[in-house]
Amino acid sequence: MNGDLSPWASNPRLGLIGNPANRRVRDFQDTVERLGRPRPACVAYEELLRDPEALTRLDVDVLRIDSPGEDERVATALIALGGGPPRAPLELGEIGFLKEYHQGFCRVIERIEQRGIPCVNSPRDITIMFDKWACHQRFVEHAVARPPAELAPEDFPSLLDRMRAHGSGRLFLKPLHGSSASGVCALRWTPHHQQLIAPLRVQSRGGEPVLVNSLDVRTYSTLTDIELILGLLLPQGMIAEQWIPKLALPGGAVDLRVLVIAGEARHWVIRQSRHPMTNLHLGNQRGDAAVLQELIGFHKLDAAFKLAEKAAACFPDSLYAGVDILIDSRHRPLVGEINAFGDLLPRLTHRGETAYAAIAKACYVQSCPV
Amino acid sequence: MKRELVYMDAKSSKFWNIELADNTHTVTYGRIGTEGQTLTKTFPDPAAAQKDMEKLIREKLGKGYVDAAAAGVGPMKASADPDGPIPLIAFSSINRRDDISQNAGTFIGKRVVDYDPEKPARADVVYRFRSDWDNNEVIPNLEQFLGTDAAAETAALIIGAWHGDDPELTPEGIIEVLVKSRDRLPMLAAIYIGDITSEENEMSWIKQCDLSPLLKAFPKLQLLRSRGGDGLKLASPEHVNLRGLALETGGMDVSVIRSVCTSNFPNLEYLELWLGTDEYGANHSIADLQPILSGRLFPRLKYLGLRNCQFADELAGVVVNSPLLSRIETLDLSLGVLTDEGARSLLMLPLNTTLKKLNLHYNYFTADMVRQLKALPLTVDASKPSNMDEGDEWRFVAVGE
Repeated sequence: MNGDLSPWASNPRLGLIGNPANRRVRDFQDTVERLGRPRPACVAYEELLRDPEALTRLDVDVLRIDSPGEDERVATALIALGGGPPRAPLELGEIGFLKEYHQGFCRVIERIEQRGIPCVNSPRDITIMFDKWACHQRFVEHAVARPPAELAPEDFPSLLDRMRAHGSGRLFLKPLHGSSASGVCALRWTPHHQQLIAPLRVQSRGGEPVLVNSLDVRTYSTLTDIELILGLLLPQGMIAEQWIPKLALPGGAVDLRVLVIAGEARHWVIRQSRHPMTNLHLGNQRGDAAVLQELIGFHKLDAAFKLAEKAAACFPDSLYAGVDILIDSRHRPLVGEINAFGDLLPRLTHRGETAYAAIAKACYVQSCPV
Repeated sequence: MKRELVYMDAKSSKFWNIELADNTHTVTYGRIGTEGQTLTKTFPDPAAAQKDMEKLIREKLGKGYVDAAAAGVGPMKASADPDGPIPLIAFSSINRRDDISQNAGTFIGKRVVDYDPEKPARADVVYRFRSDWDNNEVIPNLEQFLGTDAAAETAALIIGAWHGDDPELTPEGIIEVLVKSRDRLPMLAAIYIGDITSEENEMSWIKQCDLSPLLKAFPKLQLLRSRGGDGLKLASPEHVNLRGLALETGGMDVSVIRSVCTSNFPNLEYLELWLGTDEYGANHSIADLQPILSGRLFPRLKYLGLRNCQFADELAGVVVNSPLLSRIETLDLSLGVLTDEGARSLLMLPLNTTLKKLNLHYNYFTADMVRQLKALPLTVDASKPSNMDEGDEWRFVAVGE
């Protein structure tokens, strides 16, 4: 699965790029140590952003690039690097400067790529996985089942024209460069009603409305509210995909997060929700695998895993990826999205290994063929 | 000593039997139609075994189980006779608020399966016909099914999200097909028009139509269930054999209530109306329900559900004086805005009547009020969904949106 592995030494030294205080980095380092390998050194995004030469001081054979998320200072620096203001005036949890953030992130990834250190997941793949429209196109090229999608217009009046031209419809609008459910809106309308369901709320900053992530999923039913919200989100770039009703189990609708490692679907969870968004941090729950299997049967469940593997195979230079699979009412699987950093599945084990242990082992196994 | 209980809702139909023998009791439980599993427990003495058995029975009754004999259900079969009456317990579908987010898994006690035109049709399940995100084959699939031998034996049908990509579409065309093919469905005893989850379409956006052509076309119909209030009509509310009518809405138009109140359903035993809120089209008041509450309609009524009601407190205050209480067995005020105020009225319910069960699931009761209600000599369900929003400022019905 992984690309050119020849530069890896037989006992490769693994390095990390991430936010060192984040549990992702700490847990991964602990896992590697528990496997009897040296604790991987970590270069902080903050350091890398301050000093592009920081990487030269990292003496490793292979790099794992982890998420830059959940760090305010890193976010501000990425936005500045991506052409945004030097000190973006972001509220806590504000959904803003997504384009600039993404630009900044791509610049950092480019710097890593230029160093020429082999990466567990290639920098190029990671940047594509952070562009939902590019991912969609890649999936379509490889005949990976996806909900029909198009690029959303960048202003609300154009979207409203399209909505009215269709009379009625249902869409998921997702920021092109967002992560988790941040800024994701489920929108449906008829000539008489409209409804936008999203884990966000509108806040005021110096009299100006801003959007802030919210842990409870809210429903907005007036055109005024919807215009205000989408008026702030659409200019940041969004993909509009058909909103396909998810399979419902007792307790709510479900989708699957499947972690594909070295070509194989491994750790997976059922994410269950009473809302259209199933992301687990929104107070949703893990669903019951036995109930799902009883309902859709082994073959359909296996088809979902196969599809996850096929989606991950569209990124052959990446050792692992988290693939979200939704299942429609006829139990056919479709790829929701693919996540470069979709490996945070704490406590979940597969064949007795946590997700991090499986990934760490795969890093070493791939470099020393049996 | 032996007790046989059954439970049915939109998710499952189950039995639970317990038998006492000396210092042991044996519980057999499982899905109706299967042999189930058996658990035997031994106690130090017969009195302890009996005490534990009584405790378990109370728990089961509290969860909505009823006596199998009274319900006309045996552990091995959903009804005594394929052509006979559907057990009353099998008329209920949405027992808990959270059942609404899921399509029906069972209907009239039988397993529900999405119709697959690629597979041979069976008569021992209930088929659901619905559109998918990428096609709308409800009518062609239905027509195909109507041409099979299974159709001639089928007891029940479900129509799910029929609208495809056009939420303005009503089920009128589907009803026309069913009416036209009435001879192909000689055993049809139950029909559900609108097994649609909120993710598929909001309950208040579902476009319904006049359902009464079904009443006219199917003289053996025992249960008519529907979901969605917009456009819902019962223009000719007449049926000699109809035993159950369940209309789920987010807001019920007064004209539907008037149709029910001027109906001719002499054998109606089960009436479930979801009244809803004015934000979603409800334009009735408690006065519009008076003909029902006066008791002069539906001489055989055993279950009355006035659910999802924004004025449930007020309704509770009126219901306690209804002559109906001297002949119904279940009063269901669940899913509405019911607070301690309504509960105080219910504490004044006349006792020593036929009333056995009070369903008050989804409510804004205080813990103390729940205790008082539980002390009533009735089976009382005062449960709440796990994620009930109990803010003081706003109180909502279960299905508002």
